[in-house]
Amino acid sequence: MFAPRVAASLRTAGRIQTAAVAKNAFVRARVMAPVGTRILSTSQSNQKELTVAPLVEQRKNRPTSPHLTIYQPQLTWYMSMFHRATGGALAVGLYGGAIAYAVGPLVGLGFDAATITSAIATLPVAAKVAGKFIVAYPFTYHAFNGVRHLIWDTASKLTLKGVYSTGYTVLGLSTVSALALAFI
Amino acid sequence: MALRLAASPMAMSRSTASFRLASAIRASPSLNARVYFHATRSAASDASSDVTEVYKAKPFKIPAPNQVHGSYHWDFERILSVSLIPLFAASAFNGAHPITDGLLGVVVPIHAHLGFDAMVTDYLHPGKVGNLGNKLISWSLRGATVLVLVGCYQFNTSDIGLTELVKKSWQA
Repeated sequence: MFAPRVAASLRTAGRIQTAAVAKNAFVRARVMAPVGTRILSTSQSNQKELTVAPLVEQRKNRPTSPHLTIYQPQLTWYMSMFHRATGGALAVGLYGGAIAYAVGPLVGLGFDAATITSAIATLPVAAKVAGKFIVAYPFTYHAFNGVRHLIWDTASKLTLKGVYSTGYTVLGLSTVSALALAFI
Repeated sequence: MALRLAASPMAMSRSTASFRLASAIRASPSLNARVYFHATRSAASDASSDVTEVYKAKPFKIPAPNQVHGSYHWDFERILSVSLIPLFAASAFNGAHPITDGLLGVVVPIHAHLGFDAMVTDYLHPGKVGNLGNKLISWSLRGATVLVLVGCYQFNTSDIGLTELVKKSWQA
């Protein structure tokens, strides 16, 4: 392979660098041992530690390429993102409320319709209107955009023009209906 | 007999920690270990007993096609979504009714579960959280959905019902 002198210097250099890299005491003991001493041979799990574990650790520290932060903002993927986000938020609310109602009696949490409605009644009018808008907007957006998805599932409006026209329609309808619901 | 080759150091980058580690292992006279990187399964199985395999490549098995997880799942998803439109419309125009409330308490949680399942498939897949992590999360989601179904049923039967709750909260 290499000349003996080069191999010896590589060995020392590799040993020093490897010792710096190796956080494992086992590896340090093996690598920093004096040349010529006999150490017990390694088992398979230790070899895996020596060779595969550092690679796995390296992968955890590698950065990922930017994607959402660099792609041009477009109606298409913004609306898709908001469809998923609003759906997730509404579902979290549903799950939280239903699970709280189901396990409430077991942990002594006073969670039923009467307490909820009376708690809402204590809020000022502005907070109630704002709260209703904040709850209604995700719902109307997700509902109208869901209809848009179902229209696409019939293989209709799957052109750039169709996507943008239905998209703006959904935005308009959802905002208007959310405002209407907030002031009921 | 096939020639067994150790990975050439020249083929790898000389500055990576793994290369330094591998060359340290190779160069160390006191360490009785060999570093092998096998590209094929047959090469791995050719290894004799005195060489300890540290990295086995497992061929990826493509899952068998199954309509339940494929087109039937898609059909079920869309049927549920479509049925939500008349359900919410009826609930909005007719007010509380045991049938609409009961259906809402079943269809909406399942619709939410399907959405969460899609998000788990996209963001919390085995490649990211491991096979065990993905299984844990999937089963936790199923458990949570069962709890939600139970909670909605309890609310519809022993309390005022979902539509009435929304109506009363809106008018509070």
